[in-house]
Amino acid sequence: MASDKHKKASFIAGIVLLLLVLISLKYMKFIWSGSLAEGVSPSPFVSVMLLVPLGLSYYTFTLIGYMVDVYNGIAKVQMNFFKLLTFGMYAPVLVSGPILQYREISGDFFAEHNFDLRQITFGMQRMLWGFFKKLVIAERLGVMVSTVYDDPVTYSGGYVWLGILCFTIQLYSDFSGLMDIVLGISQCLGFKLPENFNTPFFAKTVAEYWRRWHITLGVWFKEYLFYPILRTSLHRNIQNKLKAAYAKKGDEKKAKKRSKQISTYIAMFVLWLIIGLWHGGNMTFVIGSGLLHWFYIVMEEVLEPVFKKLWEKIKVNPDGKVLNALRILRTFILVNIGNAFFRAPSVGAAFKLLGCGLGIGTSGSTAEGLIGSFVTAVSSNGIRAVQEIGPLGLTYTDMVVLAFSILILLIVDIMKTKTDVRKSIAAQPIVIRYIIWLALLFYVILMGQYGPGYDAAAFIYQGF
Amino acid sequence: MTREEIYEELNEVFRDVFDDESITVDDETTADDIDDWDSLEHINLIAAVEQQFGIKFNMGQIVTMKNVGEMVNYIEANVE
Repeated sequence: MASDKHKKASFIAGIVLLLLVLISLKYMKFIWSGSLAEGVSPSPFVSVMLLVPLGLSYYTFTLIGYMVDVYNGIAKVQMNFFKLLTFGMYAPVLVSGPILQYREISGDFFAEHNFDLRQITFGMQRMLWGFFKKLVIAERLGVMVSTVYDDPVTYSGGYVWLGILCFTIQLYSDFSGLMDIVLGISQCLGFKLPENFNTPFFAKTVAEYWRRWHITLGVWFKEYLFYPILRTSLHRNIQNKLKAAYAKKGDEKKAKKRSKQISTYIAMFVLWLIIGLWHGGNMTFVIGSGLLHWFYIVMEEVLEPVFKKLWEKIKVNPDGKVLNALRILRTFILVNIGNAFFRAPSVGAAFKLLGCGLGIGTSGSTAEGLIGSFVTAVSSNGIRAVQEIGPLGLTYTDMVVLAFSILILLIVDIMKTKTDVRKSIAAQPIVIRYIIWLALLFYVILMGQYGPGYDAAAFIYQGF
Repeated sequence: MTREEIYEELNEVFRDVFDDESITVDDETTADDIDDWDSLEHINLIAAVEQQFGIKFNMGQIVTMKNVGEMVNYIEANVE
């Protein structure tokens, strides 16, 4: 039918146009900055070309999703251009998501919203929690992380692992804190946006971790990239060829299973490569938030039957509490290693960092033990010395504040897996409610790293 | 094809894809009811159903299908 052809052509043209803008603006900077000689400052023209509009990839993804859904008939087309613009440019999500799906939220988005005190209160409470994560925790951790990542030789051994751990917590409190602020603002306005985090560090496998960390990105890539790849005839051909090859060796059922697995791993490789590239052209992202995770997930799939047999053989309950705790720990460690690549300035630096953690190439190590220097500071100068700068760039007071705050974050996250924390606080008597929220408010005001003399660092994910 | 006939064939497809002879699905069955039915197996399941019934789902249906009942509705409407 002619109209079908017309529909397809405009659909493809729209997607290509959106991708063209994204790719040219986002990767232009690598081309332009690559062409500059060392020490030469860019001309005004090049300087402008190096700028990337705020939120570019987030609204591009949102709009691509909208177009695909309309094309597939699961979202209704929005004929009012300004309404579409309002949706595509909804300001709070521009910094770093969540990525919106028009078909999921357009109804709520364009509905009439009345003043609702409970929603506003809940929204502001959530924003406050976000500021706590960002200003109290992430900013302090950032200092420790930079200290270690900038000079892993001096801080070799345990400090390196502490630095790597700190970065993972920094990334989580920074990014999920921002999401709390964005979702809190939206709740004040009466919108319920999709959640981007669901206590990811309690995941038992890396695959599950990615269903709980940056959730809307995972959903987007699954629906608009991974599924379409799996549905291509190329993918089916690869699967059939593999099946034929395996069938020659005998067992047909096994051939079917193997061919399905291997062709899926190939498709997943493409998926994770693109996710890595999306984070930036640098190899640290391609590995740290891409191919390394592909490797983890493939290994989990491959080793699953092996472990299953092992648990049967040594008669261990595969769903036992201890085993699950170990799985959570293993997943957390694997994620930490990925994040070390993500944060390091280059792949070489990441390997060097991990090497220093293992005590390789660390002859210049001079840092005194954390507890040792704390004890020296207290014993030699009295309790005032606790204010002194410790070995990781923070004062000891800051370290105590930080440890206490992370403990609170951990407790609240554990509570979150069982209940809606804000709702349970709202069910308390008014005095307790006020004590909790005012304590948090003043804690953030007093302990937050902001204001004159501080330069609250940009959110880590806003550059993507 | 009647709904019963569709279910008879569909059960075979499910048992084959998830490698579990004890599976029996009905209108209310969702991905939560079958252990291995994750986002990866979902697409394999779809491919197997398409092959069995000689139909084609579009991507919109694949991502919005809520339960087996919706899948059967579509098969019923499109199968020869």
